[in-house]
Amino acid sequence: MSSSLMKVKSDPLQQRAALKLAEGSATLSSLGLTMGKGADLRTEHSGRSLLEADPVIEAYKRGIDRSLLRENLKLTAEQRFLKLRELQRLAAELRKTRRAGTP
Amino acid sequence: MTDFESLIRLLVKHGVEFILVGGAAATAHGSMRLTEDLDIVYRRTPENIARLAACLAPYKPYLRGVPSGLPFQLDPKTIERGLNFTLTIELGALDLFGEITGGGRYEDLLPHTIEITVFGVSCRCLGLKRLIEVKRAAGRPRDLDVVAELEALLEESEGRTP
Repeated sequence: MSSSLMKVKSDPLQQRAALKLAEGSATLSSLGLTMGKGADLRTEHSGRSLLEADPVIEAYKRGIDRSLLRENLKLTAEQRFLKLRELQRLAAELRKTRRAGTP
Repeated sequence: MTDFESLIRLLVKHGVEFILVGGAAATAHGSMRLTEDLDIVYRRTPENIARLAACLAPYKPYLRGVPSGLPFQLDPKTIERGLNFTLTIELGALDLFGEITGGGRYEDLLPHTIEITVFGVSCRCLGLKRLIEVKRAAGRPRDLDVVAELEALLEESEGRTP
């Protein structure tokens, strides 16, 4: 094992990355390099890595319309809040309609 | 209906130190989901608690979802005695958190915030990565699709489209 791999011995996440590297199957993602140099790969409170995919959440992600998200990302934060206001109004109208229709 | 604009402006105008978290923070980051309350983590210093209580007082804060007529008063003493408050005020639904699961207190979260400008004022908003961590830490089944959307937003904003 090289000295750089020895250094990561105590960190489970880095250990996995080091193993992948040793296996020759390392990717930018598996090494956490997409986060940038010096990024904190683990959370302070939960101890879980953001890079650690949760299979349940991955399953939920498949149902997401990313084109809508991309459109929303083009907006400013204020524009997003204004859209939320419209959504609130619509929800309030729907509730009112539903109540009116209830015997 | 919660008036996010008035609530945020009110808190900023009175110099309350707070961080947007929850659904409102998700909205700021691009979430398409409907959120009906404003969640904030407030700094628990005596000065900030006094500012918070004073700015909310004219809007008749009361505990949300409890019978009316209880002797509840959101004054500094009440806030100091408690930690998290689920409130209804004349401007809508407001949740005050002294601490959140997986995120800690105001001081813990502050390094993980971004400044956003909305409705002509600037305020701190929990960063997307920390927001995901906090939602994951909460472990509520109803948040699974929320976390999925936030992670998709993170991937999109970092150009990591699957």
